[in-house]
Amino acid sequence: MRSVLYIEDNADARLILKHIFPIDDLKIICYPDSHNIIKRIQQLHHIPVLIILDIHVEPLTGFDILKELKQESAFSAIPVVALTASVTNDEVKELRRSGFDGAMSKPINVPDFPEFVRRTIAGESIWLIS
Amino acid sequence: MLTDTTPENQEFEIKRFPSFLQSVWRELTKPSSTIKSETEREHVRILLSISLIFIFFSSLSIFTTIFLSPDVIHIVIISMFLLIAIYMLARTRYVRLAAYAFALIPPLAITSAVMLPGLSLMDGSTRAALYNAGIGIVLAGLIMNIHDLRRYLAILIIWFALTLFVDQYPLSEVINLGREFFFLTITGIVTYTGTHQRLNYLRRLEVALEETRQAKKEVELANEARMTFFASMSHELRTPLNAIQGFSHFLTLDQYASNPEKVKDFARRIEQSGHQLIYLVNDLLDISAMMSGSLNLHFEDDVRLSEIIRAVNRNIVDGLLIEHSSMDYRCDFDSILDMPPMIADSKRIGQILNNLISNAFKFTEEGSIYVSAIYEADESKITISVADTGIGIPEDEQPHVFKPFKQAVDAIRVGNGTGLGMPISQYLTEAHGGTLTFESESGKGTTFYCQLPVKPPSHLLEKYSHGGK
Repeated sequence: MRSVLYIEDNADARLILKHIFPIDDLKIICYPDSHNIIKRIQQLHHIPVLIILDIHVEPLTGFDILKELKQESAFSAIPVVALTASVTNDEVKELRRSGFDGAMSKPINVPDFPEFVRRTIAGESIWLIS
Repeated sequence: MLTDTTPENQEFEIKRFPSFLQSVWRELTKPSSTIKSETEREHVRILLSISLIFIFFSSLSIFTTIFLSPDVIHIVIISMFLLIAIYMLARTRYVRLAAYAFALIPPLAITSAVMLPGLSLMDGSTRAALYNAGIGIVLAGLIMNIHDLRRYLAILIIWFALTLFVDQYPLSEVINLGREFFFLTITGIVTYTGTHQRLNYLRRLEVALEETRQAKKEVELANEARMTFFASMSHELRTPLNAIQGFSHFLTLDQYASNPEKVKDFARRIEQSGHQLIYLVNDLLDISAMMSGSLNLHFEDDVRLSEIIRAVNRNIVDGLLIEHSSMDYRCDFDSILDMPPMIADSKRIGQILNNLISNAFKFTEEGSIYVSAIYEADESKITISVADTGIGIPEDEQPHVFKPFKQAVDAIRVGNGTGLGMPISQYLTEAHGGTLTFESESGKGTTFYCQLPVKPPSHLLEKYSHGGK
């Protein structure tokens, strides 16, 4: 069973993704915060094939989580994308600079989201900022 | 700020001689390392140009003296030697010392002249010498208040003409000697005042530059805060829009049509996000009205605090309690019901309480929130307190709680709203003639106190009934 991990503090946003999934055979796992994030991912039965991060999560921000994931050899190959409402030019530049493998701005583009997920898992870097 | 001729900006009182000497002493005893290097360079340039003028006029004076009395050749040599020495000194970092050396030449020269053998000051020409010295002192007094080189030169020329006129009379060479002394005196004083003025001017220039740098930094900070504010706004608008677009998209799908519970849930979430957007837009409008001073309030009579709090509980707190199910939220209705009726804008008081209570929820993950009120009969004031046991406000952030843009910067950092609620609440409280204050300890919690008069002062009733004008 392949899974996608979504870390997001906003309950509505989590619920929306829960309703978009499953996509193909992908199921979604949601965390409302980033406490002990690496440990929690390690304890999952299957390593997620994609990690979707909100930026304003606590205690670690999306940027912090990304950094920790990329430092962890077991997870460094997993594509990590941002799903965020902070998408001014400077903020998008910051996302690109910090090494995200793609991003989608909020509001989520629900019809395009499955394709975004599939192609990101396939290794494409997609930036859907609108 | 940059004009260098206003007397009140002078660091030294040099109108009277004793204080002039005092300041010379004060200045000389200062360490010269306090002169900044850029000031120094500028200073040296000024001093050099002044000393060239000095040399020119002194030479002129000395030249005439030589022809009239070869006896004073001693003074010429001494003076020239001193001039060259000071000129050299002025080229080093001891410019300040050089300036005072210039000022010290005249008394030295006069002393040496009086002591010189072969010159008798006791004959009939003593009067003329004294006359010269007298005018010299009077003019020097004038000169000391003149910092403009052109005016100085004009006086010098007048004096030169005057002494030429005096020369038509068969007085002794002491007149020429006196004239030379006078030139030395004048030049020394002017050099002193000139360099000193310049030094003061440069100091003020440095202060002004520092102020400009500071102002620039403040503007940059304000800009940064504004940019962050807009970024924060964009984030705050997109978050509820995300829910609205997402859930409304689901509502268009056939798969949920047969599930009325889901449809209801989606619709409720869309509605909530709509509320969130309305609050945001209202906050923005309030901030804008606050900044332009055009806030309008609708004061009513017989406003009951208990009714306002009931409405806040019903409209806001019930929803917050669903999210924060473990929160111990208590309202001391016994105290609240005791409050006398007040004159207020009930919607705005509700907004203040809404902000205070939502804020308490926002910063209290677990614990309690306690809302109560007391009435101070002697002052006719109601104090509503909202106390939480949350994370508290760190001491360094406390001064910024009521500043709109600064708050926004912090709010985005933790992703908690726009941070406009507190500045607006304070403004609204003050518009009622009240005060909004808080006590907070990091890690222990925060208590906000909203103190409102039962009847706002009439000037505020008048002011805010007409758009804050």
